[in-house]
Amino acid sequence: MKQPLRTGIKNHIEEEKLSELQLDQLMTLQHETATYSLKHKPLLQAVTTYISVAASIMIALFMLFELGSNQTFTEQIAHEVAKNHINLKPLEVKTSSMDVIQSYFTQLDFMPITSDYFGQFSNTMLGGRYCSIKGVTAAQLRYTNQSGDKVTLYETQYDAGIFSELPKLEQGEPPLELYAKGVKINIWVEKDLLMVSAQE
Amino acid sequence: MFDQQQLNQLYQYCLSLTSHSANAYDLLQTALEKFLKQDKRQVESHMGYIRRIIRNQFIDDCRRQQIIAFDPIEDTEALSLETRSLDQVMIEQDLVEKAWVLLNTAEREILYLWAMLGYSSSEIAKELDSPRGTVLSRIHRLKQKLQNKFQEQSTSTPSTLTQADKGGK
Repeated sequence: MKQPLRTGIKNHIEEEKLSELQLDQLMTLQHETATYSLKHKPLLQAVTTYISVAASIMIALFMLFELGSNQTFTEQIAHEVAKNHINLKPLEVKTSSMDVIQSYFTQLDFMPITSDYFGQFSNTMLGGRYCSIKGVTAAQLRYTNQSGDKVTLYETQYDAGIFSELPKLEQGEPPLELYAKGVKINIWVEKDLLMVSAQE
Repeated sequence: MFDQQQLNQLYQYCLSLTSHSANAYDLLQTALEKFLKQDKRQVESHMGYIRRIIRNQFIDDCRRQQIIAFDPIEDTEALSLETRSLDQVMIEQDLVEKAWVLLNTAEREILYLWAMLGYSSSEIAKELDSPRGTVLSRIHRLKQKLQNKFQEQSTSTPSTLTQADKGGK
């Protein structure tokens, strides 16, 4: 019996069907995938949330650190110096002479000097050693005051890009005074050198 | 999820591509697995989407097995032909089955989309992501192939075929 080609093709194609077993397999495949997704959705969500929270905390800490570091850069210098002052390491050169000090520190890009500001306190020099402030090599000079307490003076080349703007003695600006770890810290710039004194 | 009727329709589409029942089932299963893994929130038609996966998978399989399943046809002489020309063809069922095995993959796919989904040549071109001229050329070649088969058959058994537009539109 003749029929339109479309009907003939349709009938022919529709004759072919999946077996019951194949249908069961495909239905099971879909069901298992759906079940797996549902089962693991909370876990996936938890992992995603965890990663998001962790990333947020990291960003917040980073921003806090950056913000904090900008606001309290001098405090960071003070803390570093105070830590060095408390954990005094052995002197590399023992002398009360600035000439000896100047001849010892040959690896510096500057010449250690006698500070006009620091010199007014009548401290007695004990000696010195190499150290660093914020990663910049410095000279650590150790003194005792009239009470017998140890006083340390750190001198290094001043770079406003690294150490930010600090009071300059020659311009009549008084040294910064702050406390870190119970240690009195003074920070100033003198003759183009950064000076930081620490005293209990 | 696809119901049994939809799975059968997809299997029939796979069969029109592969012309082999076991290969058709493998193709459907692979495509279904891919479909289920994908994010389908932006998908408008799941059936259309999985048909595209099936087709891409089939082409990949053919390339892997170095089977040339789609002949490039750029014959433009038949651009005036439409799927309407196929509507005029009358045929007996047993002849359909004999003609079906003579068709290549591209022709079987066009016939599937035309007969099962009722697509026009424009819709077929869109579904296959092919130029409309290419689809029309394939329809032209398809019709010629069917006509040849009809002629052979009518020579042996004249009563099996009537073609309303014998020799053209």
